[in-house]
Amino acid sequence: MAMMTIAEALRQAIREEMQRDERVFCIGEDIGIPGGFGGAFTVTLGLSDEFGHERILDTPISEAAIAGIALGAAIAGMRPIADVQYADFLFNMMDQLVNEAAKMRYMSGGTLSVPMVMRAPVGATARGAQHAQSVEAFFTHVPGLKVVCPATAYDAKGLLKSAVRDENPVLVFEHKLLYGSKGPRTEKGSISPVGEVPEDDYTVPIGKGVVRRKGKDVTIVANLLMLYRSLAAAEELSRKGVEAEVIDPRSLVPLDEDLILESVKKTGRLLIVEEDNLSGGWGAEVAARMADSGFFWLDAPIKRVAAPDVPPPFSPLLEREYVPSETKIVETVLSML
Amino acid sequence: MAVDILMPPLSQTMDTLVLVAWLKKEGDRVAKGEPLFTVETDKATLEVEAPGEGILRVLASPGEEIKAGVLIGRLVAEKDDTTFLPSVGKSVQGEEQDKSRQAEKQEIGLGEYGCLEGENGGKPPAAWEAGREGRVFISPRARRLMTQEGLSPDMLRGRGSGPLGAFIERDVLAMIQRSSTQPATKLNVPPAEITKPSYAQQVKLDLSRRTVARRMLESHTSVPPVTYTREVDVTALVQLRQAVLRRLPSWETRLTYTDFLIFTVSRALVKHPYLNATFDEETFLQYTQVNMALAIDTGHELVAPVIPGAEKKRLAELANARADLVERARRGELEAHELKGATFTLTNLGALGIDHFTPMITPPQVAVLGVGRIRQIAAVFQGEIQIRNVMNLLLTCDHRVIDGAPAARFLDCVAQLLESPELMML
Amino acid sequence: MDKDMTSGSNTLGADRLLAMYQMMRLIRRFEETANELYMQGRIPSTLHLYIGQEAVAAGVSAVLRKEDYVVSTHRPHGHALAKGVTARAIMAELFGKATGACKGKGGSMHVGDMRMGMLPAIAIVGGNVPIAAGLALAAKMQRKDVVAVCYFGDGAANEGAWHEALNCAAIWDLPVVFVCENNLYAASTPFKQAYKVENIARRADAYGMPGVVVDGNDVLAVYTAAHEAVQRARRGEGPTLMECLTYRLCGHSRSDPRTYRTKEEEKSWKQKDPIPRFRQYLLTNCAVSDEELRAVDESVEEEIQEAIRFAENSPLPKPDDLYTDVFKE
Repeated sequence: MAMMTIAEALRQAIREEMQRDERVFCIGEDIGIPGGFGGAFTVTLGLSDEFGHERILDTPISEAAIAGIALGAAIAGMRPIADVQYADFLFNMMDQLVNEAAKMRYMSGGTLSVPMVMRAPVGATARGAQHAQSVEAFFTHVPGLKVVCPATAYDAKGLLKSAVRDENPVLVFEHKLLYGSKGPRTEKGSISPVGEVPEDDYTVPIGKGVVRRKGKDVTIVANLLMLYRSLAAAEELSRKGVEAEVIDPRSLVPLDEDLILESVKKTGRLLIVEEDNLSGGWGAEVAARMADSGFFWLDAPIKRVAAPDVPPPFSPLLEREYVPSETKIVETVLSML
Repeated sequence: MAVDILMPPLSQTMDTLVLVAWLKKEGDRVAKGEPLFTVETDKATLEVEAPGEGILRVLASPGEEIKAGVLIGRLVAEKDDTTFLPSVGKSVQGEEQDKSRQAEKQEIGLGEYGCLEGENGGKPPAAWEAGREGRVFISPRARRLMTQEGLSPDMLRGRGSGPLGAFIERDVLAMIQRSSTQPATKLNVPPAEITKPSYAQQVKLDLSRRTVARRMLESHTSVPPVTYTREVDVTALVQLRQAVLRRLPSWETRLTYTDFLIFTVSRALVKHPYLNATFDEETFLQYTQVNMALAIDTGHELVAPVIPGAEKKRLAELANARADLVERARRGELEAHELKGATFTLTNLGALGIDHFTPMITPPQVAVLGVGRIRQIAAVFQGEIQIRNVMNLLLTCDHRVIDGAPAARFLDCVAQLLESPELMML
Repeated sequence: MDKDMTSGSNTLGADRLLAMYQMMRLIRRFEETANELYMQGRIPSTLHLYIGQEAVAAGVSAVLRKEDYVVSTHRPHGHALAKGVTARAIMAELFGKATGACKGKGGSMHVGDMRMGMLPAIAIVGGNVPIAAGLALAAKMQRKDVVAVCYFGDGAANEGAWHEALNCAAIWDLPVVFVCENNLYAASTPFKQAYKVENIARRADAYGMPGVVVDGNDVLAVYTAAHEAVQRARRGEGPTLMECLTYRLCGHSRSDPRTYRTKEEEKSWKQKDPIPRFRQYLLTNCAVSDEELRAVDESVEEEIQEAIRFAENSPLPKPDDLYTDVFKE
C-alpha cells in the first residue's frame, strides 16, 4: 500500500486503466506537452512519456471540441478521459455535455452508449470569479450524466476507475485544494489529504456514499473540501458535547439517498455543506429528498451552509467570507439543536 | 364572551400551586393585562395578568392549592352573566380536560432545557415570531414519537426546547420519562396494633419544601453520584482577600470567599465544559456560558438562584449579583426565571462550620461543588511546619457522563487557582 | 442540361447510377408523403424536409460503406435514408411508434440508427461537428478504415464549435469529410447577410484543409467531390470541407410561409431540381429507358406505402418506456 496524494492517485488510476484497456485515452489542454505541467494540476504529468502523445492527446484551447470529440470517440468504442483545466470552462462545452453527451443514448432509443469521463477541478482558490466555481449542480440537474466527487486519494483512484469503466458519461469533480499537486502547481491553502492507496486494481462504486465520522446528534452531508471543513467542525462540536455524523456522498448522481436517510433517521437533523452557491445547489436536492423521505424523522428544519449567492470574489479576505467555514458549520449546527 | 381564568402551569416540577391572593375583587371590571392574582410556585411568588377583559367572577379562594389548568375564575361581559358556575377546583370540561391540562403543565416546563447559549444559537428569526400567534411548533420526529407513544400533539402548549421554540424529540422523551416516574406506589401499611409514637408537632410541608423533597429524591434515585474530595491550601487567598478588603471603599459590596469561589469555578468550567452541562439520558449538552446556581439558605428554605454568564463577570460584579440574590432570597422576592437555566451549582457550608459533606446534584445538571470551612492547621509547607489555611472542595458528579479523571482535572484546576490566586489575573 | 452534369459517371455502372436515382426519388417521395401525413395530422410535432437537397445525401452516401459514420442535423431524413436506415424505421419514428429507428424517443430531428453507421441526428446547429471529429479520431486510433461524414447547413459554419472541430480535425489529419449543404438560408436568414466571404469553402484555408465548392443539385458532381474527399480521408491525409450549393424547395419547417424569399428565386431553383435533372441525364447519356425509371418510381412508391402501413400498424411505446435508455447499466 502506497501513500498518495489525490493527484497521484488519479494519475495511478489513469495509468492502470490505460494499461488495462487500450481503448482508454486522455484528451485535454496542456496534458502531455513535453516540459509542461501535466494538466493544470499535474494529474497527467509524465503519462505522455509512458503512453505517447496519441493516447495523451493535447488539444488546442477548444473546450467544445474536447467534449464533442471525446463524445464522438466514446460512441465509436473508445474510452476517453477528457479534462478541463478549471470546471468553469465546462460552460464552454455545455452544449456538448448537456444536449449531446447526456442525451445521445436516449435519443438513439438505447442503441448506443457514451462511455466518456469528464474531469474538472472545482473550488475557490484566490483566482476570482471565473476560475473558482463549484459547478456540480449544473450537471446533477441533467438526466443522463453521472456526477462523482472524490475527496480522498483512495476514492480518487477507485472512483476514476469506475468512471472509466462506466458505460455512461461521468463527470469527475476534483478539488483544487485537495490535489496535493507538487512543484509550481502547489496550491496555497491546500490541505492535501495524503492517504493509503492500494496498488491493486480496485474500484469504488459510483452511487455509494460513506460515513466519515459517526455521530448521533446531527447528520452533515458534505463533499470535497467541505467534507474536511465539516469533519473539523464536528471535532469542535464534539468538544461542546454535540456528536455530528459526517457523510461524504462521493457520488451526487446517483445519490446514495439510503445512506443519508438512515443517518437522518438516527440523528433527526440534517445539514448540507457545499461550496457552490446556495440557490439551486446540489444540497437543495438532497434537502428536498430528505424533506420527502425523511420528513417524519426530522427534529429540526433541514439547513444548508453554502457559498452565498454572489460570484466568487478575488480578495483572500472576501474569499474566506465566501467559502463556508468551520465556524459557520458549527454555528449552524448549534442553531439546530 | 366570557374568558376563563385558569391556574397557570407555572411550575416545572409541581402539580399544584397555591393561589395567594386576588388582586381584584369579585365583580370588579378588569382590563386585559392588568395584574389579577398572585400564585406561589415551588420557588417564587408570581403575579398573573388578566387573560382578557370583563367582570371578575371568583371561583377559588386564596390559600387553596390548585392544580394547574383548573378554572379559578372567569371574566364575564356583564355583571349578571351566570353562564357557568361549576364548583371550585373542578375543571370545566371534566376529567379529560383535567388530564390534558395536567399534561400541558408538564410540557410548559420543558423549554427550560433551552438552546445552547452563546453565538445566536437557537434564537428564532423575527420573521418566524411575527404572526406565530400561539401556534405550537412540533418537529415531525417529535410528532412521530408522540403518535407511537399514544400521546396527542394537542397536549403541547407554549414553546419547546428546539429550534424556533419547537417541541422536539427530547421534549417528548422527557415527557414520557416524567409520566413514567409519576408515583404509582402503595405503601405497606404497618399493622394497626403497633402503637404510634406521639409527636410534638405536625409540620405541613409547604410547596417549596415539597419541591426540595421531590428534587432530592429525584436526584438520589436517578443519578449515580460520586463525590471527589480535595483539600486546598487557601492561605494566599485569605491574605489576598484581606488585602483587598482593606482597600475596598465602604460603599462597595464586601467580597466573600463565595465570590472568589464563583469567580474561580466559573473560569475553571470554561476550561472543563463537560461539567458545565446538562444530561437527560439522551442528550449531553455542554454549554459555553456558565449559569452558576448558588445554594442559599434563606433561614426557612433552600433556594438556588442563578448568576447567568458568571464566567464573563468581574469579581465585583459577581459580589454584587450574589449579594442581591441572597438579599432577595431572604425576602422571598426571587422571580421564577431567576431559578431556571442553571448549568452548575455551588454550595458553601463553610460558614456553618462544615468541613465535609456530599453535595447532591440537581438534575439535569451533572455536577455540584460543595465547599467546606476554612480552618487553620499545622502543615508542612515548603519544607517547614507552618500554620496554613485549608479548606475542602467536594465535587459530586453524575457518573453516567463524568468519570473520575475529568472530575479530578477540574478539581485540580480550581485548586490551583485558589492556592495561587495570582493566576486569576490570567 | 447534360453539359451541367459532371463527368465521372463513366466510372459508375448503370446499376449504381440507377441506385442513386432511386435514393433521390425515395427521399423526395418520403418527404412529400411525410408532409401530407403531417398536414393530415397523422404525424405530430413539426418536420424539417429535405426536398430539393436530395442530390447531396444520395451523392455522398454513394461513396460510403456501411461502417462509415454519418452525423446529421435537424433535417436528417434524407441523410438517414441514404445511409441505409429503412423508410419504415424512419416513418415509424415520425409517428412516435415503439418500432421507430429510435423507439419513438428521438423523433424527426434525431433520426438515426447506429447499426447503419448513422448517429442519432443532432438538432443543435453546429453541435454535431465536434462529434464527427471524435468518431474520426476513434477510427484513426483504432486503425480502422472508417470515415466520418458530417452534414451541416450554412447556418452551422458560424457556430464556435464548428471552428474548433474543423481545426482539431485538420491538425490531427482526421478521416472526416465536412459536407456543408449551403441552401442559402439559415432558417430565414439569407446567406449574404451572415457571411462576408462569398463561399464557406474558403474557410477551409484557415484550417489548412482543402475546400471545394460543388453544385449540390448535381448528384454526380457531389459524388465526384465526395469520392475524392473520402479517398483522401481513407489515405490518412485528413479532412476536406465540401460546400454543396443547393436549395430547399420547401419551407424551413412546416410552419414556414417562406416570405423571406421571392417566388422568382424559388422558380429559378425549381428549374434546377436535382431529380428531373438526373432523370434526364440517365435517359440521355446512360441508355436507361423510361420504363426502367418508371419501374424504379413504382418500387419507391411501394416502399413508401409499406412504410406508412408499418408505422400505422406499429404499437405506441408504453408509458414505462419513458424511464429506460437514460443510462446503460
